[in-house]
Amino acid sequence: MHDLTNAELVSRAKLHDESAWREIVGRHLPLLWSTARSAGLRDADAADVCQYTWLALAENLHHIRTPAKLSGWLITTARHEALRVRKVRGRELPVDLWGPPEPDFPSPEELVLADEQAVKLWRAFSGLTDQCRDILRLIAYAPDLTYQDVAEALGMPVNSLGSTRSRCLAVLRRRVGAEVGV
Amino acid sequence: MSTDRDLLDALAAVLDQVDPVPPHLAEAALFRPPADLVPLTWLADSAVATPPNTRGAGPSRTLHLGHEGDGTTVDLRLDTVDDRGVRALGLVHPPRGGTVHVTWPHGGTAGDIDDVGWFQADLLPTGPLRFVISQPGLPDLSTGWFVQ
Repeated sequence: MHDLTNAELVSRAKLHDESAWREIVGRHLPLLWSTARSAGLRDADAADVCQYTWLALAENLHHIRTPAKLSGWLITTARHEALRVRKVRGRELPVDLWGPPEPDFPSPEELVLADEQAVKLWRAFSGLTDQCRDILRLIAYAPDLTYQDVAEALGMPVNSLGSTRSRCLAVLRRRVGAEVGV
Repeated sequence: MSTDRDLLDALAAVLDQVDPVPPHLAEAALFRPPADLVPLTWLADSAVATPPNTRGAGPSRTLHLGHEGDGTTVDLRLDTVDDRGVRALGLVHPPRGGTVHVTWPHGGTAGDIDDVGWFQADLLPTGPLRFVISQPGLPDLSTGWFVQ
């Protein structure tokens, strides 16, 4: 199953192939989770959005026009619902997980990281703009996404995505370098 | 981290460590073969835009849905009651009687639509929900899944 494309997996899932469905889930769950959490949802709400997205996919499996763009469809579906849930929940927003850390003390996130290099990368990533974090998170988890997919998922103009992506990566790389010796 | 891909792979690994996916979520990703339902069109959702002539959405969420084919419209008011659950009050127009089935991932309930078109469902679980309107002699109409 690992070698199959998204389009092939969708074709098999339409025939109720449970293993193809599981592969779709396994391939995209970290991306959906990260998408829901980055919208500012607490754990339980992010879990609901993930579950909703799978229910919506099962319901719309026969209506997805371009199965090869499955990843983009899933992200867009999850992100739209996450934004609705955030509005429904109103003031229940959690502490910003992705906010900049205090410079002199390890943040709770840093305490779980395995090595110094990972801490540097997390600090560099945390200090980026929301837009950069959103773009890099998507392309980190789903390298096959097209610019069109990412732009649609994030509600950005596609013609500016390439330059923004490059700039975000350059800033991240520079800040990881700058963290050396911290 | 010589290439962009190396850097992004390392970033994905860091994100996995900082905010890992709860293990039960993969098991919760149920495959539900699609039912033979006609989707209602979402015409208004107070979670997306504040309804006209109101100052704010308030604690309730209101939905307005319709089906052009048979002219049915459905208004839904959803109130989340603390952590206890969701109260739903709905109005189907024109009134034709029938039944409303409310489904969530691990269960469901049903209630009648009265002569005026009203229906209600008390203390549904929060999370994904779907309402299906069954009217005599007409195809079943579905709101599709949404999170409340």
